[in-house]
Order: sequence, then C-alpha cells, then structure tokens
Amino acid sequence: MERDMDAELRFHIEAYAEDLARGGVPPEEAQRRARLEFGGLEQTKEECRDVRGVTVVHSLLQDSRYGLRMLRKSPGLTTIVVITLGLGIGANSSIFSVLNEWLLHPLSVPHPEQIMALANGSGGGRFSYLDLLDLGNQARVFSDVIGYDSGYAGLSADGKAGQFTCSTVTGNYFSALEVKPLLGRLFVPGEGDQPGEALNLVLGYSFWQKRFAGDPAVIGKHIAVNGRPATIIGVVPPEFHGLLFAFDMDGYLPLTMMSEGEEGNSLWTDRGDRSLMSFARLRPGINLAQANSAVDVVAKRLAAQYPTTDKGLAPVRVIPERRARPAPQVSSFVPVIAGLFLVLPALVLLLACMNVANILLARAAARQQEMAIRAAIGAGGWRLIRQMLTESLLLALIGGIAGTVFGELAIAAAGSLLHPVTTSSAGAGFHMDCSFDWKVFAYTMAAVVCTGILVGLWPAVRAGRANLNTVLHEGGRSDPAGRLRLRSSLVVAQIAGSLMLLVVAGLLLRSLRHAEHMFLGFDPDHVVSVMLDPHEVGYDQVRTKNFYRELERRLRALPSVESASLALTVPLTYPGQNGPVYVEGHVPGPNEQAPQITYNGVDPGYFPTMRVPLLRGRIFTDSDNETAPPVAIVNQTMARRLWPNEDAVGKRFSLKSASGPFIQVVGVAADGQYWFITSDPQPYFYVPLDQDYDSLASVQVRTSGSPQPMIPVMQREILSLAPDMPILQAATMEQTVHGLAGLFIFELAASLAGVLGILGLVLAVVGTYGVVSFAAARRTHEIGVRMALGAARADILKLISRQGLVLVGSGVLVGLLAAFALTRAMSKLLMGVSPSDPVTYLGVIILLGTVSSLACWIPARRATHVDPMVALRYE
Amino acid sequence: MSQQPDLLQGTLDMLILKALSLGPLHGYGVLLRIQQISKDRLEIQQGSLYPALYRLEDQGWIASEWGESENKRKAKYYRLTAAGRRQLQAEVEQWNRMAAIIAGILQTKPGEL
Repeated sequence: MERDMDAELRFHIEAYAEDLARGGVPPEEAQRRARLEFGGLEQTKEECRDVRGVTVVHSLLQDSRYGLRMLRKSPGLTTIVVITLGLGIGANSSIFSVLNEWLLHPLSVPHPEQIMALANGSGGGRFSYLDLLDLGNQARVFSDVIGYDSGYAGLSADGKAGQFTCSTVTGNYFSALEVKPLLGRLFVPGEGDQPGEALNLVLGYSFWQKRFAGDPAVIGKHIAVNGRPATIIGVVPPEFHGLLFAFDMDGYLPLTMMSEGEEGNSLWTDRGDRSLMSFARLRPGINLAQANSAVDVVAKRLAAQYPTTDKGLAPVRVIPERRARPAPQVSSFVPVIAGLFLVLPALVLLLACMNVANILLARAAARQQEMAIRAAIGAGGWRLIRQMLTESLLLALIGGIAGTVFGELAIAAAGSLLHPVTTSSAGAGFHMDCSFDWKVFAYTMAAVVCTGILVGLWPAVRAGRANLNTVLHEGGRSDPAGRLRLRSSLVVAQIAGSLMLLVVAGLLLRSLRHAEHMFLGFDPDHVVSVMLDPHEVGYDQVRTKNFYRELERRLRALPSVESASLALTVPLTYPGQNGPVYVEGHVPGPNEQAPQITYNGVDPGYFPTMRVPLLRGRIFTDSDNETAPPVAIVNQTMARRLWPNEDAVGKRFSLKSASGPFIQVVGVAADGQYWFITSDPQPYFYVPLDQDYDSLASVQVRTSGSPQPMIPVMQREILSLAPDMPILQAATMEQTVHGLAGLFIFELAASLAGVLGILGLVLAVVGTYGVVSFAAARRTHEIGVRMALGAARADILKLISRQGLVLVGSGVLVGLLAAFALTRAMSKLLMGVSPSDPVTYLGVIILLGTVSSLACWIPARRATHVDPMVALRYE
Repeated sequence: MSQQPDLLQGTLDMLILKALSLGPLHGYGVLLRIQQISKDRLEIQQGSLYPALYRLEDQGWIASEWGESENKRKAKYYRLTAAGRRQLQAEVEQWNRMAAIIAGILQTKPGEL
C-alpha cells in the first residue's frame, strides 16, 4: 500500500514534468518545478495515511505490519526477547493450567455451582446413612443429599478377574448430579438403598472402553463384583469422572453393595457408623450462608435427639465443591500451595519482562533518531507511542505463542514424570486433565497483554517525547542519565526477585532433604507390601483368615525372608480405620467431643517386620485373638494427649461409647507418619488384626536381599494359593515412601521451585550483565581520559564494578526483606525447616552474590582493555 | 496566479466527483480535467489532491484500479461509484440552493426590507 502510494505520486510528478518539458521547459528544470509545485511530498503521504487510517483496525494493521518489519530487521534481538518472554509466559500458563484443573475446573454436571460438599464437625468429613437421610429430609435448602464412598472392588467377567475403582452411591447420586446415561440407564432415586437388593453396576466411560472395548452389548451383561452376581445397566458419558477429586471412577455401585456381614448391616441402623462422604445440591436461589445455617439447625436437632451417637455431628459445614478439593478436611492446605505457585511464576515473568524492557530501552536509544525524524515530519506523539506499544505487544504475543508451546512441553514432561506414579497400582484411576481451555487461554492472554504493556510502556513514552533538536544536536549517541537510573532500578528489582525465587526453592529443597531423612516411624528398607482383598473374589471370613494364615506361613518359609506380617494397611497408602475414642473415666466438658483417631489392625509380626520401635509395654502376641480381652498399642502423641503426665500402659478406652466396651493399652510405640507426610505428629493406635477383622489386608515381607525381586515371588505364592486372586497393590516400602501420599508432592514442589529459581537466576544475571556492559560502554570516553591521565587498570576495574556491585547489594537487601514476608506464608509446606532457615538464606546470598558479581566483573574487566587513543579518537 | 480565486473550503471533493463523472481518470488527469473545465481559472494545490482522493475512496464514492496511461505507463485510475454519483447529485443540489440563497442576499438593495 505504501508502495502504491509512492508509485502514484511519482507518476503524477513525472507526468507533470513531461508536460512542462513538452511546453519548452528544459528537462532538469521541469523536474525541479514539478517537485516544487507539488509541495511537501512526505506531508502529503502522511495526510493520505491519516485519511485512510480512519478505522482503528486499519491503523492497527498498519502499525503491526511496520512492527513486524522492524522485528524482522533484527532477528537476533527478536529471538532473545521471544525466548525470554516465552519462558516467562510458559511457566505461568503451564502452572496455571494445573491450578485451573485443580481449583477452577467445574464438575462436568449441569449447574456445578450448586454442588456442595458436606463435612461434619468432628473431622473425617463423613456421615452415617441415617443422618444423611435426615439432613436430606429436614434441610430444605438442598434438593438432594448424596452419600457415597469410594474404593476398590474385584470384578469378574468373561472368565477374567481384576480390580476396579468404584464409588458406592445412594440411589439419588445420578439424578442429583443430573448426569444422563450415555448407554442403558443410571440408578434412580431409592434404587439399591436397602440391604439385600439386586446388585447393578454402572460403568465409567474409559473403563468401559478399556475393559469391554466399548462394546454396547455390555448392557444387561451378568458379571460378579466381589464374588456377588451383578448386572451392568449403563455407562456414564465420557466427561463424567465421579466426585472423588483427581480420579476417574471405573464403576458405580448402589449402597446395597455394603450390606454384607455385621459391618454392612450397621450402616442402615447405626447412626454412629459414619462411613459415607456427602455432597448435596442446593435448591436454586439458595446461597451458602442460608445453607450453612439451615444445616446447622438440623445438625443441632439431631445431636439433641441422639446424644450418644450424634453429639459430635454439629457443626456441619457446607463447602462449595471446588473449595473442597482434594478433600474437605485437608483443603485448608490448598490456598497456600496454590498461592505460592501463582506468585512464583508471576515473579519469573516479571524478571523476564524487566530483561526485555532493558533490551527495548537500549534499542529505543538506537531508534531515537528515527522517532525524532518521524515526529518532525508530522507524526503525533500519541502515534509514536502507539507504534512502540504495538511492537512490544507483538513481541509479547509471539512470546505468548512460544510460551504456550513451552508450557505444553512442560506439562507433557511433568506428565511423564507422573506416569510411574499414576500407573502404579497405588495411583490407579488417577485422572487430571490439564488441557488448554478458555480460562488458561484468558490467563495467558492477560499475561501477554500485561507483558507487552510492561515492557513497552517506558520506551514508548520516551519515543512520544522524542525531540528532534536534542537528538540531532547530541548526534544520537547520547543517553540521558535518567535512562541509566531506570535500568539500574530494574537490576535491583531483578536481583531481589531472583533472590526470592531462590530462597523459596532452597527452603523446599531443604525441606525435601529433611523429609527424606526423617524418621517415618518405621524402617522402609528391604520391605515389600502387597495388598489383597479375598472378599473381592467371594471369600468369606473363615476362608479369608485361613488364606492369610497359609500365605504367611509359606512366605516365612522362603529363604530370603527375614520376617512377614499382616496388617490392615501400611503407612502412606490407605488411611486405615478411624473412630471416636472415649477415654475411660474421663468426663467430657459440655462442648467436648470424643476425638477421631486413626488406627490400624496388625498381627504380632508387624512390629518386627516394619521395625516400629516400641517404647513401653509389650507388642501383640498370638494369644491376643477374638476371644481374648481387647488390647491396643498407642503412639506417643496419643499417649501424651489422652493421658498427659501419666503412664498410658494399663489405661483403657472405648471406640463405642463412654461406658465401654473398653480396650486396654498394652504398649506405647514411637510416633511416625501415617496417612500422608505432615510435619505435626498425629495420634494413632494399633489393635490386633484378629480383634478387628477386615478382609482387606496387606502382607509385608522383610527380606535380606533386594526387595524389588521379592514382588514377583510373592505374587507367585499368592496365585499358587488362589489362582484368581486380584493383587490390589504391590510395592516396596521405598516406592511407597516416594509415592503420592509420601514424598511425591514435596519432590514435585521442590523441583518446580528449583526450575523457576534457576530461570530467575539466569534472567537476573543476564540483566545485570547487560546493564553493567551498557554503563561501561557509555563511559568509554571517560575511561580513555582517565587512563590517558594515568589511572591504573585496577582503578578502572574498581570504578566500573563498584557501580554494579552497589546494585547487586541493594537488590539482595530488598530481596531479603521480601523473601522474609513471602516465606512466612509457606511455613505449612515446610518439613523440619524454619521459614527463615539461616542455611538457605546464606547459601542463596552466596550463590546469587557470586554469580552476579561475576556478571559485573566481566564487563568491567573488558572496560579496562580500552585503548585510550581509540577511545578518544572515537569521540 | 495571484488573481485566481482560492478554492472554497469543501468544494474540492465536489469538483473531483464532477471531473470523474465524465469518465475514469488518474490523479494527474483529475487535476488537468478540473483546470480544463474551469478554463484555467482555478488553481488546485497539487499536494492536496491526493488526500482528497484517498478520502473519497475511503468513503466509497470513488474506486480505483491500476491501468495504463496514454504514454504506456502504469497509473492508478479512479472512477465514480454509484454511491459517488448520488453524492455528487446531492452536493450539486445543495450547492445550487446555497448559491441561490447567497445570491439573493447579495442582491438585496436598501429599502427592500
């Protein structure tokens, strides 16, 4: 278009000159007169451009085209800027897309904002079936109250037995969530809510694809779940994964599934049997506060009506589903992690922006002449600012595209890092969809726009003020002190930001080191644990007990096995059981509730096999069986909390009521880590497995050799005893310690923060190097004079590097203050490390100080090699 | 040149439309045509012609395409569009009304009021 305009105007002038020549004017004179009479050529062009650019889009396109041409002209600079911004934006968009899935992604059901999690007062977050019925009937704020539990079950179909993850749900589960079947039908309200009903199974979409090859003929198929005959009645749509956060359920079973044996029957009759998680759907137009107060009234009424079982029910909290992830009880942890991992990448992006702003400022100096001349021939100030902003936004946009690519790569890399964890049997059904949706897009675009404005605004404003006179007088080589001051403060900010990133990374790394070497309450070395549930293939209690006894006997007979044991669960896998603990003789205060404490059922071999230190009393023996008086071993924390300043051995407590039946404490074991790794000690106790039957159990083996080869050996032994027994989990305790409930989250946080820290360090060093080099180059003339007057190289070195070191020092100081404030907020995430850990701070100061001093020293040294003659002649 | 009247504000657009209503022309041709019709009584500042042409094109009253000039050179030709023809008609009517009113005012003699 510019070219068209040129051609058109040239044609006009030439045609006129020809006409003049034809009229007898000499050709050269004709040319001169034609140009003269036409008037200001550039002015005309600018007017034409203005006339044309009446629409915003039009001029934007024009600016963009011009901007792109400028970027193409300096490909090296453009590449550096795009990579810098890409890394910054990529770090943000990838971490945001994880947080997006975690905290923002709504459930794939209609009106997800109406779905609330219910959590009861005495922890655990679980409810009894009868209490849920009353809550649903009496709290009119809900249209439905759902009860459900999730776990594993055995599925036999087409002659193949296997394990699947399933939710056992009340009949109103699907209708309350308004999920429509993909195939067949789903449960209807009331279906399966009684003991002894026929068992129907609804399949999850991906399990249907995987296990039944997506065959539509599965509807009506007869299968067996835990050895019980069942019928497949439907398949849920692919976007529905169930209500358990981060999991994709393989199947859904009705509540009647639980109606087996003594334990199952108490579900329908005992208000104290709190085994169901709960979600509810709010009626339209009801807000959270209304729901909370309505539920409170019902919970208090129930507590008054059934004091023995429901005293601890109130207060019941109503929590929006999104804020109840991953589980209502531990969700207080979440804002800290989420906040930290929004701040850290934002800091990295800020550092990247400062670097780019620095580069653009340097280039703005080089383009000062261009700007001044454009201003002189009639471009308005606003027009120049717009041009510069368009260019920086273009850079940010390309950086954003690069960032999205980097981000996707990072997520793919993280996914493959996660892969061994999620594909192990411990992480079966793990599901997290960090796909690029509109929220990630919006977040990335916001980052791009902020970045573009941030890096371009200052150079743009300067361009808008471009003054032809000063520029031309100063020969375009000048650089006012103001710009250097601005760039210096950018360096201070960069050093400070990178110090914060490094401190956070250092603390998380030290915390991980500590967690790795911390005493877990047992010795994970050389131990393998295999989890089984003979109930899944239809074994009854007698057969199960015989099976376990025979398995243990066979395993002990193996040559490399030092000891073997049986337990309900092992640490860092399943939480185990929990119940209210009533201490004998303790009169509770008016508002005091019996504490909920987690426990494990173990056999006598457990303590030596897991090497759990016993501090007082005795361990269990074979005579602690069903007929013997019930006993327990408590940990230090439980002993200290329930019987402060007393010897816990010999004391009694009950899991049923304040008046017994009682369990006698026979020993005190060392504290340890149980459900997941945390810094505060948890109360815990053990009961003999024979006195707390459960078909689900783990078999542990301590070997003298390497534990990994032991797994297939154990599998062989199990299958020779029971050929169709599904093995739910098989892992060395070392693997479990590094698994999802163990150190995994600490490792992930530390490596993420580490990557961001290194990124920040590199950006800060590059920024410092750039500014010091720039300052040195600006003083070339001065250095030449000084050297000509006899200054030694060492003096020059000191002169230049001092300037940089002052900046580094101020940056470190500012960074320290900011880091103190930031790390205080993350104390929850640190294990055994104080947020103001001196080792971390000192280490970071030394690292950052050394590297950035080097970044000052190198350009300073180069400045000393200035030849005075050359420097002076240059002027 | 000095005895030539200045071009009235806003009349250049109308003159361009009038010139183009007689047939497609390139920019220089428009200039020549106006001078020719006015019998050289009007002088147009050459530089101001092009912003006017671009403005008219932007408003959709004229359209342009590249063609060949009388002496075999590439030149950009403008022609009147249908909208331009209506616009010209409107402007001419308005101009005539205005001229009649102003003429009427100027012919007023003392005592006629």
